[in-house]
Amino acid sequence: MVKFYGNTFSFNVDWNTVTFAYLNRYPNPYASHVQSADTIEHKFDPETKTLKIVRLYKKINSAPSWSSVFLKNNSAYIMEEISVCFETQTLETKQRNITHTRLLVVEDSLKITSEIDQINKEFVTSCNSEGRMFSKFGYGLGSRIEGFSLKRIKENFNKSRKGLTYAIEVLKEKRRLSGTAQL
Amino acid sequence: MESMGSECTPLKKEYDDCFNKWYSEKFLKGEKTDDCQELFKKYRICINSVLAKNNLTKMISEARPLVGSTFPEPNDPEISEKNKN
Repeated sequence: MVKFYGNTFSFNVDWNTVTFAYLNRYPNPYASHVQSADTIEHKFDPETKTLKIVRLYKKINSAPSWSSVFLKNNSAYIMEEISVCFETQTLETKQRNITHTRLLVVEDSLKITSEIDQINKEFVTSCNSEGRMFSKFGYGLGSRIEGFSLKRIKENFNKSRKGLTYAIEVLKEKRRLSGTAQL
Repeated sequence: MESMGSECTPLKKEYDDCFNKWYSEKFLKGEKTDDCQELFKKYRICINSVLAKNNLTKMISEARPLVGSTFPEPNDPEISEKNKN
């Protein structure tokens, strides 16, 4: 069975700042399990003004303690493709774990766009995440693993939002100190 | 943020610094230059060898289409050559 989930939130901060912060969101205090982040592909298409990069993250303790029965070690690798289009002011990402996939696959997508807030008529930056997860694990444990993990994913959404908020605040503070208002 | 291979962290940092400067000063202003390719190439040679040592190269190529990738396989002759040595 596949489980789907979604989450939307917005920031009263311009798109440039949010996307810059997103690309620099690690390390942050809400992501202490992220040990390393590497860019493994970088491509810029000048015609469409689109940047595509692929990142690889190494995370620890992302699996719950009971899974140590099935897993040799507690580090996991996550791959993310990020596509940023200047013309449409859209940042889109897709990520997926590439290790421990026999136990559980978690796929997430995120879209960061610039929108006009209908109430205040101001520009806001909206973040839409969607995800799905599935386990093909046998012994009748697959759906229990999914149920358990879904709960964790909801907690993780909260952590990602806090992490991104933190990265935005750090960026604002840096700019304040250097005396530049804009990116 | 550290690189997964500590030997690549200085190269990663050089690339990251270049990337951030380029992203904020050029990309977000709609310019068409791609300033950090040279630094990226150096960093990629280092990280590709770390990935190979950790047996991650195959896993990455297998997962690549699944994250909707539009990138070709990393079979750049320059890089494949270095990995053989």
